[in-house]
Amino acid sequence: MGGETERSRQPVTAPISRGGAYRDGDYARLIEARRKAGLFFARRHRWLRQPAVGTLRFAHATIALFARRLRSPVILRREGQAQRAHRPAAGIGVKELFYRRFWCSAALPCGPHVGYPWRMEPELQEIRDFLLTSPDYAVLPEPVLDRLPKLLNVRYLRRGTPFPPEESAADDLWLVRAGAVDLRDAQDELLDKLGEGDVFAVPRDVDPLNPVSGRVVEDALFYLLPGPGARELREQHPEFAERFDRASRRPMEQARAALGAGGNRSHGVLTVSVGELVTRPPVTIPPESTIRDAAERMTEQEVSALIIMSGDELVGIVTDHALRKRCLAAGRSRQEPVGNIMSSRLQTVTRETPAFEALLMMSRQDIHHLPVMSGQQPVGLISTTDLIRHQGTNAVYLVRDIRRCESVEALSQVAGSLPELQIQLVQSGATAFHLGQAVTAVIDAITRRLLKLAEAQLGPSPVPYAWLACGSQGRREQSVHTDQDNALIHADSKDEAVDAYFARLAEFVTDGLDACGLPHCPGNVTPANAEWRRSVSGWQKEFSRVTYTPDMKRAMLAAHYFDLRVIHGDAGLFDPLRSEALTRVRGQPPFLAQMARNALRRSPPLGFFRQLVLVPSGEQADTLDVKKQGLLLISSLAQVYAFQGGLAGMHTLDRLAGAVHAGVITRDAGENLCDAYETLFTLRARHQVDQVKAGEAPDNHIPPKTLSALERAHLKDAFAVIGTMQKNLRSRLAAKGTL
Amino acid sequence: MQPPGPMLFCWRRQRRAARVPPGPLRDYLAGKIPDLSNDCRETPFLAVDLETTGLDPARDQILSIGWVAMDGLTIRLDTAGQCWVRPTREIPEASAVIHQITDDQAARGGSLGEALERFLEVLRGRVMLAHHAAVELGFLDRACQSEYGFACMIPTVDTLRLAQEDMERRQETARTGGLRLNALRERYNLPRYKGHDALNDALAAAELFAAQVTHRARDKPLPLHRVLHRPGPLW
Repeated sequence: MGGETERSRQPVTAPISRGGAYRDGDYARLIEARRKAGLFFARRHRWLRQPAVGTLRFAHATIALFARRLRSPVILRREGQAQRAHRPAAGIGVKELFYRRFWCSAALPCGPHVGYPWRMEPELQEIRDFLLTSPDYAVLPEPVLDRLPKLLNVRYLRRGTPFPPEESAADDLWLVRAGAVDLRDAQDELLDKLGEGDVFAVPRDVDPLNPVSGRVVEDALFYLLPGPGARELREQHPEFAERFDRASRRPMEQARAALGAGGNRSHGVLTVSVGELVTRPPVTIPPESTIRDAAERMTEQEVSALIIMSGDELVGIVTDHALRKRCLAAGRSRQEPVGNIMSSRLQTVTRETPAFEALLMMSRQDIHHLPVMSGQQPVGLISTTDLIRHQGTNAVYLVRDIRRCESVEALSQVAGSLPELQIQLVQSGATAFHLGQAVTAVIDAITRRLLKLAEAQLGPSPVPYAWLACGSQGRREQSVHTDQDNALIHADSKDEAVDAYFARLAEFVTDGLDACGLPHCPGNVTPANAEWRRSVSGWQKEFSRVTYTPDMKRAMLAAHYFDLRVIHGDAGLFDPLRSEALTRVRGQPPFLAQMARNALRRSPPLGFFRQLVLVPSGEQADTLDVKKQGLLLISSLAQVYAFQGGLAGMHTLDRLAGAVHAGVITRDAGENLCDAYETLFTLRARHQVDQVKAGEAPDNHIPPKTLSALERAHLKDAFAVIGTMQKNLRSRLAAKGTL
Repeated sequence: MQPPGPMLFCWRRQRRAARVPPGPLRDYLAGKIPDLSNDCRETPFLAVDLETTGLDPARDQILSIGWVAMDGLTIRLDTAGQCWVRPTREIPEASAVIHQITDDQAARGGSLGEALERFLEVLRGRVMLAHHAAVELGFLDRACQSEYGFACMIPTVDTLRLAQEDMERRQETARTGGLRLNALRERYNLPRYKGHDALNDALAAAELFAAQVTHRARDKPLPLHRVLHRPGPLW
């Protein structure tokens, strides 16, 4: 048998050594030689008659195809040569590659009796395919990848095992096939988490000051490339080596980069602080100067606003807008002091304020200029233009356009660019907080505009009222995929016509929102429904009804009521009511317990072995509903904490921070929940962006298959955090029967 | 201290080696069995899977043998191998559905003798490892009987049996299909392989075994005879 193998090696090289270019007969000769050597059965194969033709330029690809599928021989022709011309033109390099790499190496490990002598080991194809999904290995050229599985070892490490294991040597490359590993520094701070597809390179020399130690946190299977093989690969393929130098040195940065959005992060309006946008010191004027002086000064300095300083104190601001509206239009004399027309209720920002927050402040309050303060001293003035220079389409533009719309049709057109806003924010790396705020600001503006249009059509309201937003809009956590959740409160009145007026108002506005792409609430949470359109005393009664003797249904209602926020109208109608109820429920343990039970109704979609539990069937099969199964769970938890701590904040992240501050939850727990919230929100936002880009309707259903290994690991972590916090709440509830 | 069964097996194996005529089987039997009191994590194994035309060794035939060696619990993919056997009868449709080897493909395989020779050579000095080893042992014994006149005596570990023991220890009852290779792998957080050729399944069994031993042994020693299993009257 040994002799047979010896003999079989020889004919392989025989036809090649003849030299010169590849000729038609070579192939048949080669096969004949191999057949005689017993390398495979003499059969007439179809592929002997049907050669594949590839061009020289793509020789590599063609040959790889050939080697994998092996249906036909490969004939390489020069580019431009007619397809019919069977005069192959393979150069010497290609020929060598062809024979040496695929022909010989594939044949040698197989014995003479093996059925597919010319076929690359098909067995380890699955492992090779997995290597391709790892971003680190994927940089290797195909032929190297084909040979790589044979060099690997497979290892299994139980949860709790130190990683890398003692016996591992320098330069070993550990590729995680399944499971997860935590890497920590000397202070036991989590540096990185390795998940499916991640690679860990065992460092050559351990940094004695900052040793990295790991632990398997989830039973894990590894493909291990031992040191010598890994070194060889790294020497031969610099692009591969580079990845590991990076992976071992800066694991966390890589993780952050992986989760962070692409694009240029350093220039977005989100990362710039206001101080960096201020280009010149403010132009000031004392309040006693005349309006005319002020106007002259503005023209001369080419600014659109002046800061009014009385001595060293900032007293107000005067803008183009004020000159027009309060002086020219009002027919004031130009000789009056400028102090008469200035705006004195000032919003200010500091140098350190993120530009984005300034932007939001402006868009929320419909103002265009903000003095920048350093201590008590104004150091500059930023305007929307300054910010817009850093950002194309944005919330401010949208809000301005919305304010100018005169009809529902025009509004719905402007609202169409909302997905674009989300795309832009996600791409410039906005955090969950900012994204939610920006989208909510736009939707609030649309609602406000619609209310104004409604008032114009139906006449002014007979009694003061306020329009309330509920749910995610109430908490300012919206994303593009959202529906309407609204309510209405109006001052008490005996008149039947009052309620009828608000019913019509509600109908107009909700229909308008529907036309703007925000569908009607499926749960009928809308002021068009009398349940959600009450007078002040009606709401008062409703608040006491749901808080005094709570059952599950009332607890669900209460959860909604406490997330109501005034977006238009008289805030004085609702805010005292809410804060009074909030103080009251703090002293009502049965209510708190019921709210906690309500928050625990659903659990995160994480199975016992940390696998993701997917929607089993239907249109959303094999997806995760990150909103219902993740974000809302965190929001409910945060709401329970807010009740416990009597916190007035609405945003989930605000509530969590407040709960930590009030000592309701520990700092660790709070930070973990915030991280979980950020992760889920970001993943959802990016999923929706992908959908919008692909022309689909955005939704909350993420198929985990589309996520990278790292993202999946983060997602699982987020769910695990929710699970833990729910368990804590549940055991507290079980121990005392209350909170 | 070793239990008597394995010792008896070793002794009979040595006697068998002396009686078998020279050839691959004799070479194989002459190779020493790894020390039974050694720790599992230092024993050389060979994970094996067979694709056959059915489940009855008396009627059905081997179509392909796949194997991968394990040194201790490190699976070495460089040793992975697979060979195909040309069956003398056509492949029944029911089995072709499972292993997806068609008559055409099988026809390119070698003879059973060649396959066995290659396989016994790599198996030498190693303990065989298989999921539901009774099938593998039945077919291999039958094949050796027909090729060399004697059954081969292969020391074997059965991952299915180990899983059963684990369940008994935890007083669980196995659900239907709960002892299938993929179901067991899921319990240990091992990925699901798509392919179902002999080599893939051998690799799957090897990984399962590594997981089982890691979980069962924790940090204590686990001698080979505690996991060794060889069904039949000899044991």
